[in-house]
Amino acid sequence: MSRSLSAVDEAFRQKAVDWLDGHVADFGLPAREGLSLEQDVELARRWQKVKSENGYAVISWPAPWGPGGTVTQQALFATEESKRGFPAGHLVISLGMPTPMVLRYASDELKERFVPPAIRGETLWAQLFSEPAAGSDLAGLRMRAKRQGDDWVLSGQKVWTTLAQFCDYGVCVARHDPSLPKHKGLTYFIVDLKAPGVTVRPIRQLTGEVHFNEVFFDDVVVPDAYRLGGVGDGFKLAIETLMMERYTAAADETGFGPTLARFIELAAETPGVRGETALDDGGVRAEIARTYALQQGLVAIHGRALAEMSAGRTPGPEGSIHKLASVRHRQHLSTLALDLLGPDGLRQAPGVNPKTDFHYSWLDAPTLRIAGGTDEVLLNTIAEKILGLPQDHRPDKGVPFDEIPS
Amino acid sequence: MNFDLTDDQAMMKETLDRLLSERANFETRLKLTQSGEGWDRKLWTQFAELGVLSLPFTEEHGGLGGGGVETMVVCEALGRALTLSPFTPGVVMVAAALRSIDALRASELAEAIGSGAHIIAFAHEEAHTSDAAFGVETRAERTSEGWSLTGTKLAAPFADSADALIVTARISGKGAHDDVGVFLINAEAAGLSRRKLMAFDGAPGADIVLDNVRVDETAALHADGGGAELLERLLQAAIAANAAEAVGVMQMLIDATAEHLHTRKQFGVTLGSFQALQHKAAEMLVAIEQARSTAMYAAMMVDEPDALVRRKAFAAIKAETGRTGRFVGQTAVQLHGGLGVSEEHFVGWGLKRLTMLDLAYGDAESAVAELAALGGLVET
Repeated sequence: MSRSLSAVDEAFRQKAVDWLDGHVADFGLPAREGLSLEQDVELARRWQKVKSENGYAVISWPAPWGPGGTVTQQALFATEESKRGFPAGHLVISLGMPTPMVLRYASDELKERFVPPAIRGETLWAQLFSEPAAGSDLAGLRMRAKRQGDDWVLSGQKVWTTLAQFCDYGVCVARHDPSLPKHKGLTYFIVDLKAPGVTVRPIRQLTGEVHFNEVFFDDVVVPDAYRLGGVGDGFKLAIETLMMERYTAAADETGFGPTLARFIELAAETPGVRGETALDDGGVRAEIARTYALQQGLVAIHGRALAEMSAGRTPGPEGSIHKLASVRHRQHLSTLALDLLGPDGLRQAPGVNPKTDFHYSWLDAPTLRIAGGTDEVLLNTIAEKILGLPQDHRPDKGVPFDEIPS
Repeated sequence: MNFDLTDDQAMMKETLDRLLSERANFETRLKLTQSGEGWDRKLWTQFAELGVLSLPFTEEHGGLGGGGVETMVVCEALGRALTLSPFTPGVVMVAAALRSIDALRASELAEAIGSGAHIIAFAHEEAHTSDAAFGVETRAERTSEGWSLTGTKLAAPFADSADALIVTARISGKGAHDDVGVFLINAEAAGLSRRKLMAFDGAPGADIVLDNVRVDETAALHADGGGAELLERLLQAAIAANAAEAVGVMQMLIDATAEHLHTRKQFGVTLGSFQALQHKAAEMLVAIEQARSTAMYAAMMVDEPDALVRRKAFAAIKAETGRTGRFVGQTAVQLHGGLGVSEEHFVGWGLKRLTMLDLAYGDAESAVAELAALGGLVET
């Protein structure tokens, strides 16, 4: 075990830091202040283009797609990028799940057509899995895919689709055969979100933002060439996609929320009940120390997952554990921060930067405890897959989908 | 102790619940947060017609002489319906503020408020008022005719709609409780400016700047040297009202959550058949019952004559209800999944309101600190 970086990685990091510092004014936190989500996504696309022209897009991807760097380098870059507030988050899904799935399963022709523009940020990709009736029970999805000559015709509804209102394409799971047990009747497709019959309706969240959408498919024609994997492989591919979602190299090692430094700053500005400032308060100090301890654990889990990926293995439960621990803690720390903010804590969130605004962070945490695998689903996975405990009851197992009571 | 409602109290609850379910549903609330004043004045007039706005004023002042329990019944109903209304600052706190002023003026005020025509807001919080009276930096200076007030008040609920404001200000000194005064001032007074804002639960409010606002002697609601005591009683009245409102919100959330667990199906069965989720719902119920008992305790303690006993009780109430509310709110959102974090669904707004009630008039951590400092928590 070793915590220090190799000379090569350290040199990479230093070069990346210099390069990033040169772009902060145009694309970093200062450039994003006051932008609408639409403008911010636009800035993110342009930032992606600049990265792609300088060898910093998809760093760990092999030629011809990426520069063939290591996963460690990609993670180092993402950490430095996140520290400076670049809008890379808007591309985490596009380049994190759908595009890699296209690379794994699409024909060479489609890879050539779809992947390079996605890497340059010219096209954005969405992941269309959840439906109104299929949340934790993903395999219970109802969207239909009917074969029609060389095409498929998709109809139904997806929901909670991140950034779909800005996306050009997506990957989508649909039911080709309702007479099969639910996991077996699913097939995975590329869909063109600008195609006739697709309607995107944004959903406003508690935070006031509109990151999510409902996406309606009304007899949307999809060529069979857009099918990824075999007919009936949909669930397997969906799980493969979700495994990428639960651990992406871009994960924020200390847990997505505001930094500990920001909390200390806030405590130092707040008059204390048990001391001159809140920073003199034993309870607040203990909380800071506890957060520090927790974050060391999170950083180590992150490191373990990266090491697994660098070695070409798929990370195990690290993603689930990181997500469970970090989001709960983020919520806890934000609760304390709102206390410190006093009457200013009552206002509508002044900003939506998860790194600096406790307000936003607090309102957003409940979403993160649901999105990408709820706490309960993650705990089930840990209990069943790691502890080897019996599977939770699944009364619909093996039952043809169209015979499951709805 | 008797925990049953009297017939009159039960009737008030029923009438109010019916009115609110007809007039103050969630769609109406969403619309209100998106336009105009941010709350429903017509509904307020109906409250007046029902006598709700006269409820906590003494019979001597022309009110209905309701006590802590009556206030609790109303606030719980408002919470259950997530109603946006200035009932706590504009009625409950005003009733608590009229204790030490002359009877004629108190009657006039009680009548104006009871009719629904006169709105009063409470402008106390400042940058440094996390703990009761400490940190009030707005100053009240003596003038030949009365007082002059200067300072900034933050995020006062419903203050943008108010005709008058109850303002706290420091009379002299810096830190001690007994230097604070409580003043009733016209919201249109020269030197007073308001900047409208929206709190994160959608409730309207305002920041207020007082620049040498001159008022006469009658503006002071506190007896000489009794400002801190009066302020403490105002805050306690608000904490009791908020505790009851929080119970209403929590009850609404657990009802909705139980309904969701009964009807939402995943894996071919209702969500409620998964034991992990049953346990979460059961924990919510345990928390709500704890909060309900605490709200009843608060309703009974608002009139406790011993100031120290009361102070300890309210620190405990503040420490308990806020955190319980957040737990219940978060769990309700979690069990609703994506619906819970969508703006179009009421569950998330319940969590926001509960957080607001936790943060209003001091936070739980400060209440715990106060309790620890007061000592005497066990009998020796």
